[in-house]
Amino acid sequence: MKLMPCPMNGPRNISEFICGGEVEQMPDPVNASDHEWADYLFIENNLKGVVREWWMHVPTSYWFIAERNTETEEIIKTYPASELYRQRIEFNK
Amino acid sequence: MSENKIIADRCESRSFVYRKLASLSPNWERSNGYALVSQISDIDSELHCAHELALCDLSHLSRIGFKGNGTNEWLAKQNVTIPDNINSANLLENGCLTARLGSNDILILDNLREATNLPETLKHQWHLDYAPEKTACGYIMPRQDSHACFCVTGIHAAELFSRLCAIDLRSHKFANHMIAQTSLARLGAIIIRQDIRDTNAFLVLVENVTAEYCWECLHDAMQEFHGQIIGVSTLINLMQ
Repeated sequence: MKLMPCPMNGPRNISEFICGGEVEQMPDPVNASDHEWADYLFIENNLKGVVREWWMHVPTSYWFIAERNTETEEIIKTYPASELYRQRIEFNK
Repeated sequence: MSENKIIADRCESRSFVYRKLASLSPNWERSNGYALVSQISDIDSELHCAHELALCDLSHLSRIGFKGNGTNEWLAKQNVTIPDNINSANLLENGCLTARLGSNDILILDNLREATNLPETLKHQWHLDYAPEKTACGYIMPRQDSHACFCVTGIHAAELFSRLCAIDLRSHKFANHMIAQTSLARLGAIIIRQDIRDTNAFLVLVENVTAEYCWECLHDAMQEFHGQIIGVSTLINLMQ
Protein backbone atom coordinates (compact mmCIF):
# COMPACT_ATOMS: atom_id res chain seq x y z
CA MET A 1 0.00 0.00 0.00
CA LYS A 2 1.31 3.42 -0.92
CA LEU A 3 1.73 5.84 1.98
CA MET A 4 0.94 9.54 2.10
CA PRO A 5 2.47 11.62 4.92
CA CYS A 6 -0.42 13.67 6.30
CA PRO A 7 0.90 16.85 7.98
CA MET A 8 -1.52 16.34 10.88
CA ASN A 9 -1.92 12.57 11.25
CA GLY A 10 1.40 11.21 10.01
CA PRO A 11 1.91 8.51 7.36
CA ARG A 12 -1.34 6.84 6.31
CA ASN A 13 -2.52 4.50 3.56
CA ILE A 14 -3.24 6.37 0.36
CA SER A 15 -6.78 4.92 0.49
CA GLU A 16 -7.49 7.32 3.38
CA PHE A 17 -7.05 10.33 1.09
CA ILE A 18 -8.75 11.99 -1.85
CA CYS A 19 -7.19 14.42 -4.25
CA GLY A 20 -8.87 17.81 -4.62
CA GLY A 21 -7.08 18.94 -7.77
CA GLU A 22 -4.37 21.42 -8.57
CA VAL A 23 -3.59 24.41 -6.39
CA GLU A 24 -4.32 27.43 -8.55
CA GLN A 25 -4.39 31.14 -7.99
CA MET A 26 -8.03 32.16 -7.62
CA PRO A 27 -9.06 34.92 -10.04
CA ASP A 28 -10.89 37.93 -8.62
CA PRO A 29 -14.43 36.47 -8.14
CA VAL A 30 -16.07 39.82 -8.90
CA ASN A 31 -14.18 40.84 -12.03
CA ALA A 32 -13.23 37.45 -13.54
CA SER A 33 -14.83 36.50 -16.87
CA ASP A 34 -16.95 33.33 -17.09
CA HIS A 35 -14.12 31.71 -19.01
CA GLU A 36 -11.53 32.56 -16.34
CA TRP A 37 -13.83 31.33 -13.54
CA ALA A 38 -14.69 28.08 -15.36
CA ASP A 39 -10.99 27.55 -16.04
CA TYR A 40 -10.25 27.99 -12.34
CA LEU A 41 -13.01 25.61 -11.23
CA PHE A 42 -12.98 22.85 -13.83
CA ILE A 43 -9.96 22.82 -16.14
CA GLU A 44 -6.95 20.81 -15.04
CA ASN A 45 -3.50 21.44 -16.50
CA ASN A 46 -2.56 17.74 -16.16
CA LEU A 47 1.13 18.48 -16.14
CA LYS A 48 3.79 15.81 -16.39
CA GLY A 49 6.31 16.38 -13.61
CA VAL A 50 6.10 18.04 -10.21
CA VAL A 51 2.65 19.43 -9.38
CA ARG A 52 1.13 21.08 -6.32
CA GLU A 53 -2.26 19.66 -5.34
CA TRP A 54 -4.97 19.81 -2.69
CA TRP A 55 -5.39 16.56 -0.78
CA MET A 56 -7.74 15.63 2.03
CA HIS A 57 -7.37 13.05 4.80
CA VAL A 58 -10.92 11.73 4.77
CA PRO A 59 -11.33 10.46 8.39
CA THR A 60 -10.42 13.92 9.70
CA SER A 61 -11.63 16.05 6.74
CA TYR A 62 -8.23 17.72 6.92
CA TRP A 63 -7.18 19.54 3.74
CA PHE A 64 -3.51 20.11 3.03
CA ILE A 65 -1.16 20.62 0.11
CA ALA A 66 1.04 17.96 -1.47
CA GLU A 67 3.77 18.29 -4.03
CA ARG A 68 4.23 15.15 -6.09
CA ASN A 69 5.75 14.00 -9.32
CA THR A 70 3.06 12.74 -11.71
CA GLU A 71 5.68 10.91 -13.74
CA THR A 72 7.38 8.93 -10.98
CA GLU A 73 4.42 8.94 -8.51
CA GLU A 74 6.82 10.18 -5.82
CA ILE A 75 5.33 12.35 -3.09
CA ILE A 76 7.92 15.07 -2.57
CA LYS A 77 6.42 16.91 0.40
CA THR A 78 3.17 17.72 2.16
CA TYR A 79 2.34 20.73 4.30
CA PRO A 80 -0.61 22.57 5.88
CA ALA A 81 -2.54 24.93 3.62
CA SER A 82 -1.81 27.70 6.12
CA GLU A 83 1.74 27.84 4.72
CA LEU A 84 0.32 29.17 1.45
CA TYR A 85 -2.85 30.88 2.59
CA ARG A 86 -2.24 33.12 5.57
CA GLN A 87 -5.48 35.02 5.71
CA ARG A 88 -9.16 34.43 5.21
CA ILE A 89 -10.62 35.33 1.82
CA GLU A 90 -13.74 37.48 2.07
CA PHE A 91 -16.07 37.10 -0.93
CA ASN A 92 -18.51 39.85 -0.06
CA LYS A 93 -16.12 42.78 -0.34
CA MET B 1 -41.87 -9.34 25.99
CA SER B 2 -39.79 -9.23 29.14
CA GLU B 3 -40.03 -6.55 31.83
CA ASN B 4 -36.54 -5.37 30.84
CA LYS B 5 -37.52 -4.92 27.21
CA ILE B 6 -40.58 -2.90 28.17
CA ILE B 7 -38.46 -0.49 30.23
CA ALA B 8 -35.94 -0.09 27.39
CA ASP B 9 -38.69 0.62 24.89
CA ARG B 10 -40.10 3.35 27.11
CA CYS B 11 -36.88 5.34 27.36
CA GLU B 12 -36.58 8.59 25.42
CA SER B 13 -33.17 7.69 24.01
CA ARG B 14 -31.68 4.45 22.83
CA SER B 15 -28.34 3.35 21.46
CA PHE B 16 -27.51 3.45 17.76
CA VAL B 17 -27.04 -0.32 18.08
CA TYR B 18 -30.12 -0.85 20.24
CA ARG B 19 -31.56 -3.66 18.12
CA LYS B 20 -28.28 -5.55 18.10
CA LEU B 21 -28.09 -5.23 21.88
CA ALA B 22 -31.74 -6.16 22.35
CA SER B 23 -31.17 -9.42 20.49
CA LEU B 24 -28.81 -10.45 23.33
CA SER B 25 -31.62 -10.14 25.92
CA PRO B 26 -29.49 -8.06 28.28
CA ASN B 27 -30.31 -6.33 31.55
CA TRP B 28 -31.35 -2.78 30.75
CA GLU B 29 -30.84 0.22 32.93
CA ARG B 30 -32.26 3.69 32.64
CA SER B 31 -29.81 6.59 32.91
CA ASN B 32 -30.97 10.15 32.23
CA GLY B 33 -33.76 8.79 30.05
CA TYR B 34 -31.32 6.63 28.12
CA ALA B 35 -31.71 2.86 27.85
CA LEU B 36 -28.30 1.33 28.37
CA VAL B 37 -27.17 -2.25 28.75
CA SER B 38 -25.92 -2.76 32.27
CA GLN B 39 -25.02 -6.43 31.94
CA ILE B 40 -25.49 -9.37 29.59
CA SER B 41 -24.10 -12.38 31.44
CA ASP B 42 -22.80 -12.78 35.01
CA ILE B 43 -20.36 -10.21 36.30
CA ASP B 44 -17.40 -12.58 36.82
CA SER B 45 -17.60 -13.87 33.29
CA GLU B 46 -17.93 -10.33 31.88
CA LEU B 47 -14.98 -9.12 33.95
CA HIS B 48 -12.91 -12.01 32.63
CA CYS B 49 -13.89 -11.03 29.07
CA ALA B 50 -13.05 -7.38 29.75
CA HIS B 51 -9.48 -8.45 30.56
CA GLU B 52 -9.25 -10.69 27.49
CA LEU B 53 -11.35 -9.01 24.79
CA ALA B 54 -14.71 -7.30 25.10
CA LEU B 55 -16.89 -4.80 23.30
CA CYS B 56 -19.18 -2.41 25.14
CA ASP B 57 -21.62 0.17 23.81
CA LEU B 58 -21.07 3.60 25.38
CA SER B 59 -23.37 5.57 23.10
CA HIS B 60 -25.12 6.98 26.18
CA LEU B 61 -21.89 8.61 27.38
CA SER B 62 -22.38 12.36 27.36
CA ARG B 63 -20.05 14.12 24.90
CA ILE B 64 -19.68 17.30 22.92
CA GLY B 65 -17.21 18.90 20.55
CA PHE B 66 -16.06 22.44 19.83
CA LYS B 67 -14.25 23.53 16.72
CA GLY B 68 -12.99 26.64 14.97
CA ASN B 69 -11.16 29.84 15.78
CA GLY B 70 -11.29 30.82 19.44
CA THR B 71 -12.25 27.33 20.65
CA ASN B 72 -9.11 26.69 22.68
CA GLU B 73 -9.14 30.10 24.34
CA TRP B 74 -12.83 29.81 25.19
CA LEU B 75 -12.41 26.30 26.65
CA ALA B 76 -9.42 27.50 28.71
CA LYS B 77 -11.71 30.14 30.23
CA GLN B 78 -14.07 27.31 31.23
CA ASN B 79 -11.16 25.59 33.04
CA VAL B 80 -10.95 22.83 30.46
CA THR B 81 -7.32 21.80 29.97
CA ILE B 82 -6.59 21.07 26.35
CA PRO B 83 -3.88 18.55 25.37
CA ASP B 84 -0.73 20.19 24.02
CA ASN B 85 -0.56 18.01 20.93
CA ILE B 86 -3.05 17.14 18.20
CA ASN B 87 -4.19 13.51 18.33
CA SER B 88 -3.73 13.22 22.06
CA ALA B 89 -6.11 13.26 25.01
CA ASN B 90 -5.95 14.06 28.69
CA LEU B 91 -8.01 13.40 31.76
CA LEU B 92 -9.44 16.33 33.68
CA GLU B 93 -9.53 16.29 37.46
CA ASN B 94 -13.24 15.46 37.38
CA GLY B 95 -12.57 12.35 35.26
CA CYS B 96 -13.78 13.84 31.95
CA LEU B 97 -11.65 13.20 28.89
CA THR B 98 -10.61 15.96 26.48
CA ALA B 99 -9.40 14.82 23.09
CA ARG B 100 -7.64 17.15 20.68
CA LEU B 101 -8.61 16.12 17.16
CA GLY B 102 -7.18 19.16 15.36
CA SER B 103 -5.50 22.45 16.26
CA ASN B 104 -8.92 23.93 17.10
CA ASP B 105 -11.03 20.79 17.30
CA ILE B 106 -11.77 19.44 20.77
CA LEU B 107 -13.93 16.51 21.86
CA ILE B 108 -15.04 16.22 25.47
CA LEU B 109 -16.37 13.00 26.98
CA ASP B 110 -17.99 12.80 30.38
CA ASN B 111 -16.76 10.64 33.24
CA LEU B 112 -18.29 7.18 32.75
CA ARG B 113 -18.11 6.27 36.42
CA GLU B 114 -19.61 9.44 37.82
CA ALA B 115 -21.41 11.78 35.42
CA THR B 116 -20.34 15.42 35.80
CA ASN B 117 -22.59 16.82 33.05
CA LEU B 118 -19.64 18.91 31.88
CA PRO B 119 -20.65 18.56 28.19
CA GLU B 120 -24.15 19.93 28.96
CA THR B 121 -22.73 22.72 31.11
CA LEU B 122 -20.32 23.75 28.35
CA LYS B 123 -23.07 23.62 25.75
CA HIS B 124 -25.24 25.90 27.86
CA GLN B 125 -22.35 28.31 28.49
CA TRP B 126 -21.36 28.37 24.83
CA HIS B 127 -24.86 29.49 23.82
CA LEU B 128 -24.61 32.30 26.38
CA ASP B 129 -21.16 33.37 25.18
CA TYR B 130 -21.61 32.97 21.43
CA ALA B 131 -21.18 36.38 19.85
CA PRO B 132 -19.08 36.12 16.68
CA GLU B 133 -19.08 39.87 16.12
CA LYS B 134 -17.31 40.35 19.47
CA THR B 135 -15.15 37.36 20.25
CA ALA B 136 -14.60 34.06 18.51
CA CYS B 137 -15.51 30.99 20.55
CA GLY B 138 -15.69 28.39 17.79
CA TYR B 139 -18.83 26.41 17.11
CA ILE B 140 -20.47 23.34 18.60
CA MET B 141 -20.00 19.85 17.18
CA PRO B 142 -22.98 17.75 18.30
CA ARG B 143 -20.97 14.59 18.88
CA GLN B 144 -23.68 13.04 21.06
CA ASP B 145 -26.06 12.72 18.12
CA SER B 146 -23.58 12.47 15.29
CA HIS B 147 -21.32 9.74 16.65
CA ALA B 148 -21.75 6.35 18.27
CA CYS B 149 -19.27 5.49 20.99
CA PHE B 150 -17.98 1.99 21.71
CA CYS B 151 -15.28 0.66 24.00
CA VAL B 152 -12.98 -2.25 23.19
CA THR B 153 -11.04 -3.66 26.14
CA GLY B 154 -8.57 -6.43 26.82
CA ILE B 155 -5.16 -7.80 26.02
CA HIS B 156 -6.25 -8.79 22.51
CA ALA B 157 -7.68 -5.37 21.65
CA ALA B 158 -4.69 -4.24 19.58
CA GLU B 159 -4.73 -7.54 17.69
CA LEU B 160 -8.42 -7.10 16.99
CA PHE B 161 -7.79 -3.63 15.54
CA SER B 162 -4.98 -4.99 13.37
CA ARG B 163 -7.68 -6.93 11.48
CA LEU B 164 -9.64 -3.77 10.76
CA CYS B 165 -7.28 -0.80 10.52
CA ALA B 166 -3.75 0.00 9.41
CA ILE B 167 -2.52 1.78 12.54
CA ASP B 168 -0.38 -0.18 14.96
CA LEU B 169 -2.22 0.13 18.29
CA ARG B 170 0.01 -2.18 20.32
CA SER B 171 0.92 -0.76 23.72
CA HIS B 172 4.58 -0.10 22.92
CA LYS B 173 3.66 1.78 19.74
CA PHE B 174 0.50 3.57 20.78
CA ALA B 175 0.69 5.05 24.26
CA ASN B 176 -2.22 5.66 26.59
CA HIS B 177 -4.20 8.79 25.60
CA MET B 178 -2.97 8.74 22.01
CA ILE B 179 -5.59 9.19 19.29
CA ALA B 180 -5.76 7.71 15.79
CA GLN B 181 -8.20 9.20 13.34
CA THR B 182 -8.19 6.62 10.63
CA SER B 183 -10.15 4.11 8.57
CA LEU B 184 -11.64 1.30 10.62
CA ALA B 185 -13.26 -1.36 8.43
CA ARG B 186 -13.19 1.30 5.68
CA LEU B 187 -15.06 3.79 7.86
CA GLY B 188 -13.72 7.01 9.25
CA ALA B 189 -13.23 6.49 12.99
CA ILE B 190 -11.72 8.18 16.02
CA ILE B 191 -9.83 5.71 18.21
CA ILE B 192 -8.68 6.91 21.64
CA ARG B 193 -6.58 4.73 23.91
CA GLN B 194 -8.01 5.20 27.37
CA ASP B 195 -6.84 2.37 29.59
CA ILE B 196 -9.02 1.34 32.50
CA ARG B 197 -6.60 0.75 35.36
CA ASP B 198 -4.37 -2.10 34.11
CA THR B 199 -6.63 -3.11 31.26
CA ASN B 200 -6.05 -1.91 27.71
CA ALA B 201 -9.05 -0.01 26.48
CA PHE B 202 -9.90 1.95 23.35
CA LEU B 203 -12.80 4.27 22.75
CA VAL B 204 -14.11 4.09 19.20
CA LEU B 205 -16.27 6.86 17.81
CA VAL B 206 -17.89 6.42 14.42
CA GLU B 207 -20.58 8.35 12.59
CA ASN B 208 -24.04 7.30 13.70
CA VAL B 209 -25.15 6.04 10.26
CA THR B 210 -22.28 3.56 10.25
CA ALA B 211 -22.73 2.45 13.87
CA GLU B 212 -24.44 -0.89 13.20
CA TYR B 213 -21.97 -1.81 10.47
CA CYS B 214 -18.98 -0.91 12.66
CA TRP B 215 -20.45 -2.80 15.62
CA GLU B 216 -20.92 -5.86 13.41
CA CYS B 217 -17.37 -5.63 12.04
CA LEU B 218 -15.89 -5.35 15.54
CA HIS B 219 -18.07 -8.18 16.81
CA ASP B 220 -17.19 -10.38 13.86
CA ALA B 221 -13.43 -9.75 14.19
CA MET B 222 -13.65 -10.46 17.93
CA GLN B 223 -14.74 -14.05 17.33
CA GLU B 224 -11.17 -15.00 16.41
CA PHE B 225 -10.13 -14.12 19.98
CA HIS B 226 -13.33 -15.34 21.69
CA GLY B 227 -14.32 -11.79 22.58
CA GLN B 228 -17.71 -11.01 24.08
CA ILE B 229 -20.10 -8.09 24.33
CA ILE B 230 -20.34 -6.76 27.87
CA GLY B 231 -22.50 -4.26 29.75
CA VAL B 232 -21.68 -0.80 31.05
CA SER B 233 -21.77 -1.82 34.73
CA THR B 234 -18.91 -4.26 34.06
CA LEU B 235 -16.78 -1.45 32.67
CA ILE B 236 -17.58 0.69 35.70
CA ASN B 237 -16.72 -2.29 37.91
CA LEU B 238 -13.39 -2.54 36.12
CA MET B 239 -12.63 1.07 37.08
CA GLN B 240 -12.98 0.40 40.80
